[in-house]
Amino acid sequence: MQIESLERLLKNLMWLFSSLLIFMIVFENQLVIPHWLYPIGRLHPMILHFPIVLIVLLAAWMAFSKAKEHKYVKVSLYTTALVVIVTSIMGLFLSLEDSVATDLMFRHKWSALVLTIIMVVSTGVRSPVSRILIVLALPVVIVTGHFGGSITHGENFVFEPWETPGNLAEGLPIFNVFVEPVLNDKCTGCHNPNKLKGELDLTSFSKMVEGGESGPIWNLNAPDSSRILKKIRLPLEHEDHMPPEGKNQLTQNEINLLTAWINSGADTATSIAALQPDHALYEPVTLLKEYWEQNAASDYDFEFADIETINNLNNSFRSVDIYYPGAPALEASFFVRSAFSINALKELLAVKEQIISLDLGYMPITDQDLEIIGQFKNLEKLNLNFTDLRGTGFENLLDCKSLRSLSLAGTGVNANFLTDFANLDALDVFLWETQAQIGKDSLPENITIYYGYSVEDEDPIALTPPLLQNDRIIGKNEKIILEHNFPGTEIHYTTDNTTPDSTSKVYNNPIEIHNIASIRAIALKEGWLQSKEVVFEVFKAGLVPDSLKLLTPPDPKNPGKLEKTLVDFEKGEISDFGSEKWLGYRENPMELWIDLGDQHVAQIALAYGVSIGSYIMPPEAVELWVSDDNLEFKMIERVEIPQPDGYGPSFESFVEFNLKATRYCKIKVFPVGKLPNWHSGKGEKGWVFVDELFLF
Amino acid sequence: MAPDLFSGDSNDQLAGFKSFAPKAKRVIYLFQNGAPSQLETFDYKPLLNNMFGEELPESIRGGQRLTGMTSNQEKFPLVGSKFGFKQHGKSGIWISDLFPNMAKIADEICVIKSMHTEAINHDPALTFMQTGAQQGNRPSMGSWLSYGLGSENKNLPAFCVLLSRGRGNGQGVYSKLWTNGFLDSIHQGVQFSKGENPILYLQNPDGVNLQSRREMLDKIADLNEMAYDEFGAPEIKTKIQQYEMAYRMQTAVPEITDVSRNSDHIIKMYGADCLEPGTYAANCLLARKLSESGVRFVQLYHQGWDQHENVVGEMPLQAEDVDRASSALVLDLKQRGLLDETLVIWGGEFGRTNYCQGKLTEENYGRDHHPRCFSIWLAGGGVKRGMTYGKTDEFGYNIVENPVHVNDLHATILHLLGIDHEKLNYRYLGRRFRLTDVSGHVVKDIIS
Repeated sequence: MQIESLERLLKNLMWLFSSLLIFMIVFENQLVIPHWLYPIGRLHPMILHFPIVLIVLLAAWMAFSKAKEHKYVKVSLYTTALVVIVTSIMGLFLSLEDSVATDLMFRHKWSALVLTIIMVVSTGVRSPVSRILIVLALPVVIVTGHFGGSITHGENFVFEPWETPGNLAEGLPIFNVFVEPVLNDKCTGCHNPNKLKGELDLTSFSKMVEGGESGPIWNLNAPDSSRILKKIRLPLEHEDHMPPEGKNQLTQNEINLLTAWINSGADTATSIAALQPDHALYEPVTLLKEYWEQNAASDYDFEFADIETINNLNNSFRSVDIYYPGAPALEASFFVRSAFSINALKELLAVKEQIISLDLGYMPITDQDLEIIGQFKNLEKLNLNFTDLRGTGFENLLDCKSLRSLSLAGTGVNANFLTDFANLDALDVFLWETQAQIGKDSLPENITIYYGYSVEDEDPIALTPPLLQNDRIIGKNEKIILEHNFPGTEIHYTTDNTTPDSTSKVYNNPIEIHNIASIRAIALKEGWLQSKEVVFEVFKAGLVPDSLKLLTPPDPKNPGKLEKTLVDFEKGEISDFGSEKWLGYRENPMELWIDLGDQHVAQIALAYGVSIGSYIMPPEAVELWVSDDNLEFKMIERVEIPQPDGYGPSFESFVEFNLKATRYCKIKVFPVGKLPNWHSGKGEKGWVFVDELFLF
Repeated sequence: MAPDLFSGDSNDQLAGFKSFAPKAKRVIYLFQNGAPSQLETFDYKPLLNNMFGEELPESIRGGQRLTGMTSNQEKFPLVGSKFGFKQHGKSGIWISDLFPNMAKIADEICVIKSMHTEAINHDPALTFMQTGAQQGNRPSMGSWLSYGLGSENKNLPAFCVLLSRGRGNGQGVYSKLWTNGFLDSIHQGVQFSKGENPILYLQNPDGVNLQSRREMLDKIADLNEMAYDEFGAPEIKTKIQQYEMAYRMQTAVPEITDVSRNSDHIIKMYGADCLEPGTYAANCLLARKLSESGVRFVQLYHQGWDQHENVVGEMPLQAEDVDRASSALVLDLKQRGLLDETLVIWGGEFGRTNYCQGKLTEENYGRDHHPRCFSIWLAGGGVKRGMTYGKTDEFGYNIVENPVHVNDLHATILHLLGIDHEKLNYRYLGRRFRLTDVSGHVVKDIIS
């Protein structure tokens, strides 16, 4: 391309973009930038470096070039002017998106416009004038750039470190250290970009300046009428009070802080260093600082541990936790005795400064290891319960000046070492399950000992009853096995339905029974009261009838597996009458037909369950009818079953009949017709639940 | 507040959802399932004894909805506790004579008499108490803590569930109560069984040793990784983690359940029934062991507290089951120096009516569900000791002072663990969910 045509192209582009810029400046207030064009504006902070560099280079060239009119001067001027114009347009886009009309913005915009005009004019004038203009443009671009930088980085960004002392904390703005945390704690739960309650976002200063749906939140000309201050000062009951009733409220001092901050101009620049005792913010800031310091769990004056180190120390058998965010303190615990090695503890020394709580409970820690533990100088809580300590080496812990809780339960320590710990602030020592004792006189005042529960503390208590190891229905040759899971317990029992006591037979060997047995047993042990009596009704598995049939249907709610329920060799549980192991009757009596076939049956038993509160009572009566031809049945026995006379625990029982040779039987079971007067369902029908039939 | 501003270094990523210094590290929740009557436990109302059989004034009931079980009742005769009450400890907390052992720890506990809930039937109330919502699709409190704080002991689940059944009228518990909801399933509660081996299938079968188990798991993990690469389902990763934890549990659990750790003293403290697996006492003992071993949240449920009738017959049985072991747990943690970092909670899902359900006799009575007030206690974990909080009216029907909603209790529990309940949340189905949903205030007055 010829140099002339390039010049022409640049010139035309320059005039085109100039017209656009002029148009935008004239109609700035009516313009709305569509969302998808935002990126153009947002590139402004990047693109702006091009005109700066070009102007600086151009100015240097113009100032020092000897040639009168170099052939590339025009192209360079046009290029620079074009870039300046485009950058200005982009800046306008950005300002329109984020419409914070501050003084800084005003200065930045107009100095940029002056620069643009200088650059455009410089393209149309002859050499000496254009040279002067370009050199003139240099300070303008510096000023413009500085205003822009102040918008993004804050005013006085560059020189602030010179003005404030070297301490980083002192140089931090009050806004960031005090105002923002208060807002974050109490306000931004609702006023954040996601929730945007009242269209107000308090998570950043620039959004605060924008205000909410009812306008700006502060009025710097009349600070006391600021909306935010009015709302937080309203009485709690008031509908408009902020934060709303029920939310975490601002304290009076926090209200004072916000008030003072807005009164003094609501700026983000004032640093802690600027605070002199006569400053309005001085008192609320000091009070808030004190409050925070008091409310931190303790003051940690040690450094943060390296996060990488902490991560590496964590494994399945050793956990190292951060006490809470922002605190350098760590807590460590060890797990699984069989996986423990003393090296695991030594590795932890990498963070020995930071560990404030160490849990070594049940680990094989010996007296020598206290030397390692003593290196954790900032320990506050040390758990050595059920370790292998014998009671020497505690002098190693004397340097742990912050120690306030020492757990030594279940170890072989004595209490003598405690006299050495008299200079700690306050120390709780847990000596349960140790032989350690110390007289009141020799115990330092700062130490509290917890000896915990000891058996002498109270009267003996009862044992639990023995347990039955067998199923409730046992095999033909099976014997009954009783047990108690407390070692050293003696079981006494009877099989003749008498109450067992300490003179009854001692259980040593499995018990042999005949058909049905009622084992009544108790447990005894030195130093304990005898257990409650327990009764096990145990049945041997009997014969199976050739055939059996329910002549009346069970209640549809509890049909079990119909007749099969009765011969499945499974007892039901009285805790679960809803299971298939039970048959329930209520509206009508149960009538069961049995064909014994050729079998010789001498005894029939029917087992049932009782749960009085659930209306499940013993049957009122049970009848046995027999027949040889299956046509005419004759009742040979009717058993009236005694009814309970009050509420009591659920239990199981059975009814039995002796039988002479016969082939067919019917058993009729009658539910209670009317529940007794003391029952809450008085007058209503009772239930009958049967679970098994036994033939011997 | 912002100390890392000064230090320039911080290690937040390890601290989970903790926002400030925690008081408690772990929770043991002794849930009394079925709702024990506040009027026979901690809320002493002599007026009800004086007004025996008199009608509940409409002004007190104030339009309270009733359950289907008493809404047809023509009369609502008031009835006071058949069991005596005494004040105990230096704090003078009122405790029913049914709980002689809890009376001994009166100066360790904080009784809240002003709990209230929104549900009036067991299932929604229980679900509300456990998950912060009545519907049963949200993560349980233990799962939230597992998610928020992570596991302390990586050889055990962070959230364990132990069940026991009393002798009173019972209500079911369902696994939805310890569900992880929409959280990763690694946070689900692990139910322990009642047998001699509380965790089933933990032992290697005959012929399999630890080495071959390790090799098998490595191969399965390889296959799972391949599946993950192909499908990208996060549950596959969870599965791998779960297998690994189960492997580690093979060593950790036998140490914890080792009976040789049970001295005679311990058995006497908890009562001899702690030797019988599946009893409340055995579960309390196991809960202490798990908690001591770094399990974040141990959830017990003891069933049988639903005394619609026969309060007189069943309450003593239920009380007998839990009284000794509950107080033993508190004392046991204390004597080990662990009570200050372990929060113990005792209570049900709602209260019971001050009037009789069914027939009122001189000897016996029943009580229906009552959501407006009930009593629970908290111990340890940074809660004030020997304190009664909140108050109900003379009728034991309405709260007159310091009400504590279920959401408030949740917020307070999280606060004790160093968590801001508004910050512990999880984004799901387009919005953020919290245990306290959109409410809950921390009850600062009970925090020491």
